[in-house]
Amino acid sequence: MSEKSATVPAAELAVLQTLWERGPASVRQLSEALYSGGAAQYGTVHKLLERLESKNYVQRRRSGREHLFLPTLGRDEFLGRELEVLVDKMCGGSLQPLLSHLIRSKGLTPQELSDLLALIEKLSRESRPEKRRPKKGAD
Amino acid sequence: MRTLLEIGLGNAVGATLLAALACAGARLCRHPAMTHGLWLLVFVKLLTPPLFRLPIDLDTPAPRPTPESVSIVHESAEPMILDRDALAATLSILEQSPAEPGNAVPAFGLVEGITVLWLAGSAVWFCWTALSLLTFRRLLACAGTPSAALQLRVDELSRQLGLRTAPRVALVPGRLSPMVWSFLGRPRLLFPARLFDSLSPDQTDTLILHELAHLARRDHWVRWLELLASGLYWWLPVVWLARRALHAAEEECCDRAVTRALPGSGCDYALALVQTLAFLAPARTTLPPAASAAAAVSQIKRRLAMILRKQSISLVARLGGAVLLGLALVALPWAPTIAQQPKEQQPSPQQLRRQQIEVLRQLLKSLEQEQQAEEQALRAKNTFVVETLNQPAQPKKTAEGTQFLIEAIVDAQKTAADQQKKLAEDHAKRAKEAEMRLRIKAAQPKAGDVVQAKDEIDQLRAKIAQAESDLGAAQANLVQLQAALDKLALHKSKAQPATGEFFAISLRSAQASDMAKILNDLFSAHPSDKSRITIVPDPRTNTLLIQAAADDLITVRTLIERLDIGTEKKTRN
Repeated sequence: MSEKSATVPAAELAVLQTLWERGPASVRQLSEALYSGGAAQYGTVHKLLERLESKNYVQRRRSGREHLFLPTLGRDEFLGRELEVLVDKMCGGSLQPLLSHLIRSKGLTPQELSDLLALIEKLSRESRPEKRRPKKGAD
Repeated sequence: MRTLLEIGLGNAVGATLLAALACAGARLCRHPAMTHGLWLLVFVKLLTPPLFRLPIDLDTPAPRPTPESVSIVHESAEPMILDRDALAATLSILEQSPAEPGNAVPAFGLVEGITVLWLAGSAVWFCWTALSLLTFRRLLACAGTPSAALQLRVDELSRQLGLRTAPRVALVPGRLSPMVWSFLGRPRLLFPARLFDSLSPDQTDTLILHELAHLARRDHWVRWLELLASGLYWWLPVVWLARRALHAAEEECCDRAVTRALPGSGCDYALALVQTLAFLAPARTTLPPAASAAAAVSQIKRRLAMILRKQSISLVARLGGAVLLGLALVALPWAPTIAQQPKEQQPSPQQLRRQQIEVLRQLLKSLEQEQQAEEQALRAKNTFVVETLNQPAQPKKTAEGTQFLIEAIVDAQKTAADQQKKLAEDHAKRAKEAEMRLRIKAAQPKAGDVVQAKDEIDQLRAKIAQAESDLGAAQANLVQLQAALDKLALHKSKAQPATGEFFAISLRSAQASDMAKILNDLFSAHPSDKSRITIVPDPRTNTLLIQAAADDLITVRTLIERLDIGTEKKTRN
């Protein structure tokens, strides 16, 4: 599966939702669950599953005479990844969402992070004596 | 489109000047709220009326008409036929413009092309943004997991910040930063579930307070303004610079709000920020190419220093910032161009062409009306003559009748001459007015709308030809009547006794002039008959006016019946 996948359309997301709720299911079972009509939408659901399979979001497993489809990743993992991709695209790229970020930088190295922690330690030390000095003077 | 582009460019220049002011203000006072205000004004400026409009002149100007084309109109000064000359001169001017390719104004010039490109870019930008926002919303609907404990804490902190309604909280999967989401509905506070688990309650409070401070400051409204301005001015680098500076100022304002709301929480807040950064950092030990976050790190360091040191802002810096903010505010909403009266616009070449054609139409219409009046007068005169000729015969008063007839014809001719003189004066007056109008309009550039102009020219030519034809017929009528008058005057001068009566015979098939010629030729071969019979044709009514004795009339009538074959004759005496 590609690390940065494209956001799936609403119809494919509905199929994935059903798979997360029901577990492995055949095309017929999915079409009944999604459209409650059954046969008429069989081809549509089959096409959606093929697309999801090509994106490595689902895989098929043979069970008797029919194929069962099951998701390759959990709901949280999928949604977390999709949200990350979308936020990166909107905030890092040319788009501006209606978001107010706490921090917009990603991809700091461990060295930069340790530098920041050292800076906090240093600033905390600097601020502590300033607080204590008046107390000492008062004593 | 030109106006739109001028407004856009004027706003871009105004916003760039304000951005320079904001940069200076940010360096001078380093007060996040003032800096935020200055950068916010840049976006407001982009959406308010322009301070000035940049005049754009990228199209080739239409060449003016040559002096020769104008002089055609100037020199037409014949009073009687001046109206036709004026029409012909105007038509020649109209004909000149399509022949000169330089006169054609480009229908889709550079200005229009730039404007269309700009608007198309904005449309694509807005569509893409809307699609992304809807997708994000759809994903959030699946991902949002409520947390009762967290919601209670958010409600409490919201009250502490003075928010009327607390936002709904959603714990979301993925490596996302805590954020406020406001799109089509109540704002939501999105908090990453894994970060929530890794932070202490005090640290969590600081991050929640930071996001609530965004809501308290109405930063989600600013997002809409920013969204609109960015979409409209996607080509302006100042917009992207202003966005970055505005966001940085916002975050610093919220940091200050956190340290004010939770005194002594500076260290927890700083650690929470760094932990959030560590949470967001992907699990890799090397920096990816072209992903250096040096600018972001320096900004974080500045924020940490501000949180932990509690830097104060000097009074001078505050005053300087306030002055800059005031200056920007004064320059912002009042645009001089709004107060100006709109300039009287020069008519376009197409409008000039239409005006000229309209003038010609009116002129031609008046000419036709005059022609009709002239024809009506001639018809009335002829009718009078024919009726007089068809009066019942009174042999005893034939001489008096002839004299009366001649006098009536002379009177009618005099009346017609008077009318003609009056019409000529009227023509001269109208033609002079038309000449003045054409002289003014000929000095303006004419271009465009070639097809319409050609049609108009063809129509005008057809109307002029028709009017000339009508006038020719009327003049021929006058000549015939004059001939009749001359013959009658000759009879009177010879003082011959009346030898017959007057008759009028209408012809159906043969032409009256042809028939009169044949009969006159015939009777001229017999001088005795010729002296007693007078035949005059009236071409307009196709009638023969005959003066002859009763016996001779039988002969004449028989001849006419033979010659005017297949037609029904009306003979009255």
